[in-house]
Parts: sequence; structure tokens; C-alpha cells
Amino acid sequence: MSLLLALTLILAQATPLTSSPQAGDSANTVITVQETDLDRRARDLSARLRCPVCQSQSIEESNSPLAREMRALVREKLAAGESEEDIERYFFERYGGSILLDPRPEGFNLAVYILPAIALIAGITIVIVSARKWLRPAAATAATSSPDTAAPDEPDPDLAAWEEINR
Amino acid sequence: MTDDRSMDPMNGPDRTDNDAARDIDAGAASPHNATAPRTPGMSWRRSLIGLGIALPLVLLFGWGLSRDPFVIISPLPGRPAPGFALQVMGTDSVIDLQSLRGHVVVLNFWASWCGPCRIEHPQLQEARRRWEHRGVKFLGVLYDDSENNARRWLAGYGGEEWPTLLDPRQRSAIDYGLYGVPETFIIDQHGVVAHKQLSVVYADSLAPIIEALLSRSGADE
Repeated sequence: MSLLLALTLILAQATPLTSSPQAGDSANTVITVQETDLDRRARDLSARLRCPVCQSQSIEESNSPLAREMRALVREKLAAGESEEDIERYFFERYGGSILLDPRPEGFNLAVYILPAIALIAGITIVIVSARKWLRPAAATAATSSPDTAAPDEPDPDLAAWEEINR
Repeated sequence: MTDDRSMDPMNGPDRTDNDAARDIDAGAASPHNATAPRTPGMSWRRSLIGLGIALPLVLLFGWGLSRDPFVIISPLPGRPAPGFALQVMGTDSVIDLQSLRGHVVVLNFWASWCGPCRIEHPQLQEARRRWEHRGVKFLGVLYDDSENNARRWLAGYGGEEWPTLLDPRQRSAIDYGLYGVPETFIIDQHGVVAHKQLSVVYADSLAPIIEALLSRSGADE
């Protein structure tokens, strides 16, 4: 009997529950907000400024109180008619070069732009030189052993090693 | 033998002098070295190239990784101090930095939630005792904190000894390139930032800076 009562109670509770998603849907109607030009400019600029109290995060991404105020300041300055360059300079003059997520290509910062290119060229050169070296001994042994019919099945140590690994 | 080949990192740029030494040792035994005998001169050249690549990298990383990435070196010293006109806590009056020309100003950003500020405050009190009568102005700027908390905190140190300025939404703090508290700026008689102190200031470490500025003003007159 008590079980039946409990069951009816559950059902009674369940009835409004089944209708609740519909109510929730209407309550959670997605509101689309048109992004204004100012929003976009503020977002782009904020994404280029490093949050000073974070590590490798822009003020756009960071939720720290300081980043929040900086975002607001960026927006205010843009709304007041200041250009992106003016605002970048404002932060640069107060926080130094580290406020810019993309370092200015000058002085020691140039290393960041030049070194990867040098490393890439050096890497490609090393690969090419090494590949030639790997190919040369094989070609040389093939050339010397082919006229030598007495020992046609001279075991190639490289081949033996390769087969050893892939057995 | 097979291990010696497959593990061979010899052609990589990160070979070391140890690798070069092993080359010579393994020279007779390794079939790889038997087919392409390496002269000692070749090894030397290789280890020099390796050193030439590794040494700059080690120096670069040694320099870069030993720096604290949380420390931002302020570009402000030597430049005019950003101006402000801020309300004094508990009053209706406003202090404009411009009005303090001719004085050395100690501008201290702090908060009641800031731990190191507890060490610093007695030091600032000591500094005030030493230099206020010689015309040095002391100003506190409250950073991201409520007035009530600030007043209660100051009461614990015998009450306010110098004006505490309110900086709504941290606009002046950002103007000064602040990224934490405490930070202290020493501004000279011409309104130029003479020194920025990250973290706690000590009266003794302020002494040479303030004395130099005070004696300079004596020479100006």
C-alpha cells in the first residue's frame, strides 16, 4: 500500500517534470547579439595584449581582475576614438615590450623571427647531407661487388641489421 | 652491433664530445665505421660543429630560463610620471599629482589583502619619519580593495599617516604599469619617475635614492 502511494507520488512529481523541458526551452531562448565593429576591434586588440599577471595569456582570454579592467580600458579608448596603434603604444610605454604577445621585430626580438628560419634551413641541410651519406656506401658496394662474381652473396651488414630488427 | 647502428645519433646536431670520443673507441669494432673509416680530424671537425651549435643554445637557454617571467621591467623610470587626480579616502578632497611639483613623492600602491604590504607598512612609516620633514610627500593608492577593509587595516598600524587615494577600476594603477601590490614609485621634483620598487620597499634601501634627489634639489636652488 505504502509502495503504491510512493509510486503515485513519484508519478505526480514526474508529470510536471516531463513538461518542464518545454518550459525550459522557452526560458533559455538563444539570444543572438550582433557583434558591433567596436566589439570586434576591442576583441582583436585585447587578444594581442599579454595579461601581465598570467603566463602566455592575452587579456582577452584571462579572467583575472586586472585583465578585465584592461579589456574595459581598451574598449573605452577605442570608443573614445583612439587608434589601435595609440592603445598599443599606451600599454607598451607602461608595461614594456612584454605586454605585446607578438614581440616587435627589433633588436634582440629579431631572434624570435630569424632563428626558426635558420633552424629550418639547417635542419633541411643536415637531412640532405645525411641522406646522401646513407645512400653513397650502398651504391659504392653495389658497384664494386657486381663484377666480383666469386662472392655475389656478400652479406650486407646494413641489410643484416635491418632484417634483424624487422624479424 | 645492431644496437650500435640503430641507436646511432651520430648525425644529429646534438652530438656531444662524448659521442666523438666513443666514435674513436668504437672505430675498430663497428661495421659502420669499418666501411667508412673516420679520421680523427673529421671527429674534431664534427665535435667543433656540435660545440658551435650547442654552446650558443646552452647560453641562450641559461640566460632565458634563469629569468623570472613574472617580473616585468618597468619602462617608466626616467619618464614623466603619469598624471592623476584622485579622491582621498574618507574625504571629498582630490590630490592632483601636478600640485606636488617641487616635492619628492613616494607613491605606494597597496591593498589590505596584500601580504607583503604588512612588512612594508612599518618601513614606509619609518621612511616618513625620516624624510617627511624635508619635504618628501607620501601617498598611498588603494588597489582593488574596499575602503572599509583599508581603513580597518590602517587602524591596525596606528591609523592613517598619509593620504590614501582611491583608484576606481584601477585606471591609475594601469597607468603606472602595475601588475601586483605592493609597488612603489619615487617621483622627483620635476614629476619624473626616478625609481620603481617592485614588492616591498625598505627605508634603508630608499635612503640613497631619496637623499640623491633631495641633494639634487639643493644644488638646483
